[in-house]
Amino acid sequence: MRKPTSIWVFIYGALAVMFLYNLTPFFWMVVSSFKTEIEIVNYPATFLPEEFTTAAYEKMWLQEGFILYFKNSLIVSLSTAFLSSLVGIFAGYGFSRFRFKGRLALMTAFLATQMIPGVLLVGPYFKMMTIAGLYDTLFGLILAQTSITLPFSVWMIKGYMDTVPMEIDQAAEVDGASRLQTMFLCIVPLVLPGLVATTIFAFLLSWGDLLWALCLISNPLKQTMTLGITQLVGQFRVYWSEIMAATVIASIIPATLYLVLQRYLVQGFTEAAVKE
Amino acid sequence: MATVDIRNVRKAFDGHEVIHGVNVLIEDKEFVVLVGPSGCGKSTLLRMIAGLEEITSGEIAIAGRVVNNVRAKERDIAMVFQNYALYPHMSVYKNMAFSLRLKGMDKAEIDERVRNAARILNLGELLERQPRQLSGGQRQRVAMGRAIVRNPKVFLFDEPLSNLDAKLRVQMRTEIKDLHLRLGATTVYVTHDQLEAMTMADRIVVMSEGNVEQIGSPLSLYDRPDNTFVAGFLGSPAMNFFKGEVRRDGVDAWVEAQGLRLALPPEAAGESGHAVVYGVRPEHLRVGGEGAAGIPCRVVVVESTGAATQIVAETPAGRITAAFEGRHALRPGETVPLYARLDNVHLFDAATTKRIGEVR
Repeated sequence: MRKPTSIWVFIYGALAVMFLYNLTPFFWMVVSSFKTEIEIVNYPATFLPEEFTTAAYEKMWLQEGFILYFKNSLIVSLSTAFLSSLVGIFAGYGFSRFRFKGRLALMTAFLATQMIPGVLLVGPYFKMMTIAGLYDTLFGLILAQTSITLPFSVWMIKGYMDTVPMEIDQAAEVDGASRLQTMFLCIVPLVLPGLVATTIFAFLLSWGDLLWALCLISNPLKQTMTLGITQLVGQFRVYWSEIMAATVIASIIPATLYLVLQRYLVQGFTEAAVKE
Repeated sequence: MATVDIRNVRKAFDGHEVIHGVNVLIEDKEFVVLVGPSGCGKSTLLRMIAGLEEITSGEIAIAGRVVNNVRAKERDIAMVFQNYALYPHMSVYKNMAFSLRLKGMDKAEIDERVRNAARILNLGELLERQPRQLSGGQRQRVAMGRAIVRNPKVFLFDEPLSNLDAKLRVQMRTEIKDLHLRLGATTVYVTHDQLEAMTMADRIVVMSEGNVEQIGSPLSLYDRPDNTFVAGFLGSPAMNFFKGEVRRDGVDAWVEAQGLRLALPPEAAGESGHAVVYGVRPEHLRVGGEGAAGIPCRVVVVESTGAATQIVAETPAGRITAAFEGRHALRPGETVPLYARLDNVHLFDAATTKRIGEVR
């Protein structure tokens, strides 16, 4: 039965409100990055730049260290995403396929770490990293961030692997595949959409992180984007247009990631795995 | 010689034994069907042969080599699963070539083997398709192709036809049997469908609750079931059973069952007073006969398939089923006496359910 027009009006109205609510900050960020330093603090604020300028971008790009911060962020985020997905594949496969003593306890423990706010763990991590000689290193930061993203990755990947029937593993085993071959040739391709989603999640979490970088990095040469942006908030002055330009640049990476990988996110690979 | 020798094999899950010492010797090139109701242990037994399930105790030898501690991939077996278990992200060709690629076989030989199997199974046109683009029957054929290319010692089938519709099942049944005759490989086939077992097997292993009830050729099991379980499981519609006691009067012998007098041949075993179960298959009942009184029946349902007629009738000892060739003029509500063919009745001990002597 066709829904009456009033319902459609309501649905589209609600969607429009949500759309505006979500996109307005982004829109504001983009237009502000093209305003002059004076215009950006004008009251009442202008909707679109009266005088269009890319000065903020030029300044950001030329500012010492910005490219380095960008590179550091990329290294940390890509490594965190890669590490938590790789470990996630192994752990997820183990939890999904093997029944061993303490399995449930271990899974619960993994999940429980997700319940603790990250800020509570900063102190212990700081101590541990210092003892291990990893304080103020990108590797230490990668390890810390991986420990935050890993439980989620493991649970997600386990969940995706649970949807792949055991018979696929068994068929591969009979066909002569080792466990590793089964995992990487037969199971991982089937959970690829889920794996991509998990990897993006870990990447974004790491890309947007400020807390861990702030606590575990002090050397200016090892700072990440987020740390770099906070430096634009000075004691006497806030560099609004530079902040906006920096955040626009910082958003390009995750946005591109989404665009490139979105086809994996929607692909239903497992539909013909077995007869339902 | 690819024999499969199962010697006193037991299987326990968490201390709970589900297979209780099974012994079966499957000869080279033989087509053996493991049949039984759900949960009887037939699939578990097959999976133990495949190496997908550990053997708790006992031994399994394939081609004379004990394989208890040999991994599935080194047993030289191929298995076809109930739900096909095709790799969904690989084309039909890649599905079939997968095991050969893992072996490191060269491309030309892989190609030759895959195309050969595809020809045998009529899959030539479908080699580049993805599994999701295939029908159930085609998927099942790909699963068989995947098994064939490896040229294994033993083929294992785990209820391969249960996901197909009735018509396709009959067709695939013939194809599998035909394939077996052509390839001549030892085959172990699991099903819960007694008709599949009867039509495909060289020998049937009937299982129940983790035990082997009887092993033999389909017709020997049909004609001489060892116990009431086998008698009732094989044959459709199922055998009619009546509980009663043997009575003898001179040369006359019969079973007295809840007021019914069920005729026995004079040479039937069983002392007078022996508590027995009297069994007669529906197709061994007929309307009208001579000699002793028949079983008085009131017809409840008449089902005609054109080629045969099946009736369900009420007797003083409960409902029975009878099946006749061709068409019959019986109507529901009608009262008729049914006569068992005396050379086709079965007697089982009421206490042990085991067959008693030779009735026929």
